Amino acid sequence: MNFEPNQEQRLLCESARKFFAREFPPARVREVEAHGLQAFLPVYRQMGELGYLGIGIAEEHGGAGGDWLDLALYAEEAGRALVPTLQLSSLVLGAQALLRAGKPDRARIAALVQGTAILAPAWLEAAEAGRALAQATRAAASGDALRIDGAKRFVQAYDVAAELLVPVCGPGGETRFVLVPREAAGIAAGAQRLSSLDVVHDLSFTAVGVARERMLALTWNAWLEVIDGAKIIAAAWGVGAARAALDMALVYARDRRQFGRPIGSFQAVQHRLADAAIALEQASAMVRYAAWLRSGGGECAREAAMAKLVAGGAVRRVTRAAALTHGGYGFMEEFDIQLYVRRAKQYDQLIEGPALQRELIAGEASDDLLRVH
Amino acid sequence: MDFAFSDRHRQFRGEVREFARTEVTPEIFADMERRGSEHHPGFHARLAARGWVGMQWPREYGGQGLDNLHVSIFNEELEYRFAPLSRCRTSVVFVGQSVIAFGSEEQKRHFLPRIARGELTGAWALTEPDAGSDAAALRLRAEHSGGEWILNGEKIFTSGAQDADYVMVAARTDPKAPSKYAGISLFLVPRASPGLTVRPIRTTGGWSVNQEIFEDVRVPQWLLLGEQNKGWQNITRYTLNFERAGIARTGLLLRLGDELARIVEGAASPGARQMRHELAQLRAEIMAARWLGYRVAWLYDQGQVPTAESSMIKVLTAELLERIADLGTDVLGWAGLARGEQAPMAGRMEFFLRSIWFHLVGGGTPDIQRNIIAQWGLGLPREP
Repeated sequence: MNFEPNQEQRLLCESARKFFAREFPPARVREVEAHGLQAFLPVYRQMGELGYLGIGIAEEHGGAGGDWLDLALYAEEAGRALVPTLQLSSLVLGAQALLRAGKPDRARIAALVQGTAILAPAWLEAAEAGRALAQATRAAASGDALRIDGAKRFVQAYDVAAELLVPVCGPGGETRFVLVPREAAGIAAGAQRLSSLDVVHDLSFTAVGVARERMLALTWNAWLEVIDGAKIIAAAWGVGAARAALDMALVYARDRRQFGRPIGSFQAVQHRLADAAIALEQASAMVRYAAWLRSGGGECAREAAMAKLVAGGAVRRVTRAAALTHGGYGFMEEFDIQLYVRRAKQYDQLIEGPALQRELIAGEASDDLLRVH
Repeated sequence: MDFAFSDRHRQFRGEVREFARTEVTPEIFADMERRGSEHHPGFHARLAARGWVGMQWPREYGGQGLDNLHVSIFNEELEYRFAPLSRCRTSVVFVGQSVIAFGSEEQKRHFLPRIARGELTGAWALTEPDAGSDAAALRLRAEHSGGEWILNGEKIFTSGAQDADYVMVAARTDPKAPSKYAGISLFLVPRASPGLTVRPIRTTGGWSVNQEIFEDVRVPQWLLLGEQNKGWQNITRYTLNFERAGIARTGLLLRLGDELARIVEGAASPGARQMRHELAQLRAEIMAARWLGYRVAWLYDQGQVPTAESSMIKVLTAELLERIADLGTDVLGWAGLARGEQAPMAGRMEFFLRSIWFHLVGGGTPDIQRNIIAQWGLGLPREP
């Protein structure tokens, strides 16, 4: 057992931290808030050039290599800088699903890894992620093609995507995944702006025709395993954001003086930040363990759910403590801490939300918390 | 970064699990209940016979040279069976580890093998009636006279002093020192010393802690532990951290999390079934705390004494224990408040909710832990 990052992991994290600090400072976060994901794409393509987007994908498939723990440690750095989670959509869900389906199209994977193309999974059919099979979107055979009708909700990355990854209910009631070109006729999109100012889309599909070979050999259960893996990375993203928020609060608490002394010397402030630090370290330990477990290819559904749940709660608690430390400045738009606070709940919801995680954990075998891998 | 247990750790877990399965018997609990004690000398002797008391010490001092991850596994597996480990903690972690960290060679050779063989148990006395969270305000006086020390004063809330062979006592040796943090020294005091009176004080948990009155208690020079007048530095650098990391009861949390899951799944009442998400939340936090606990053990194995992390794991596990006992009694309803063997889970949810104060307050209150985390871990300024 070793809790120290190895040399490669340390170098990866240091380089990612420097890159994001230089290329994606809070001013850029605000630009993306104002102008949408298009404003992020130049940085995203650099992430592709540097190999960041290919972490967790084997070199034989055109990736940068590295395992799930490497990806999680890198994700903490991305989260620290509030980097938009496009990589989660396009690579950690999208490309991983394509690889999972087998016989991946090399050119397609390469474009995703380079950041020149984006794949947007469109799998939610309700406001809250569930695990039920896709029902509201159906695919029927229509000559040589497929005809898709239905709707998907809260699709991230739609506005910059080249293709959508859409689970559909096939003719025999089975779930199938289809790669749908974003520009295909018959797709209507309605934008919704979130608390974070991210824009997501509700999509409707009306007689959308796609070629048959765009259907993937990906089962629903395999997709759920992709989701489990992605949740860990989403959790790491959140842990990184929480760590940054705590660091900002600590700087502020040491500098800000009231009653003639730094506010950080007051126990009321100290205890709140101590609680935040406990929540953060607890979440970090769980997320890294789950990522390591996923790296070894082991069964990790329970630990992924635990990591996502604990990390999501920690982001919310830590950013709350950080905002309160800043007093009135904590919710003024010109201060950076609010950028973190407004994203906390989104990290909690990302991929799958806390209510579902509790349900998944409650549904697991109950008498084996002592189990180790 | 690698979270795999080595084959040695796995094998060790198997050994402890098997031991716990056969050796932690209902008779042990019945016997402790009868005597109103949290300690079972026979069980402690069996742990010592296996070489597990002081397993983390070098072989030359009677240990097995095992790492702290072994100790974590040992605690986890035995706590999962509710095994009594309190004197193992007071003797090995509080007293023995302090002797290792800053004792003399003579003290190491005298005390450690005896503790490891189970022949000698220890207790740790810091708190005084007027020096609780402000522990450095202690007043128990030790005066040097004729090659020995004479101790006068009082200690309170000492776990295990009623049957320990030695009490590790913090005393003021230089009352003229410029600060309360200077002029404190530690002594290993035989409990049978003339002039030392031990009075049990019953806790709400049913067992007792103690008050000790020192009246001209004579302690030979060789039992001064660590450098004279540097006691506070040793206490804060070593002893209190060992204590805090050592009393985190992760195995207990894992067990209660599992027990409660079984009860909730089997519950007929819709109210109890409604608790399943709250329980799932707790089970996730317990698992996360377990991995933070492993990290703390690993930090010790790297030769560090992680002050903030030791406080974190202490306060986190105590508060999780409180939350799970609270949830457990909610799920069980009135039956959750019933004491004793006939109650659900042999009354353990009720017991932990009633005795949670021991876990929250022992080793320093949650408030003090948060001060330590903020000041030592987060670098926030001390109050003026």
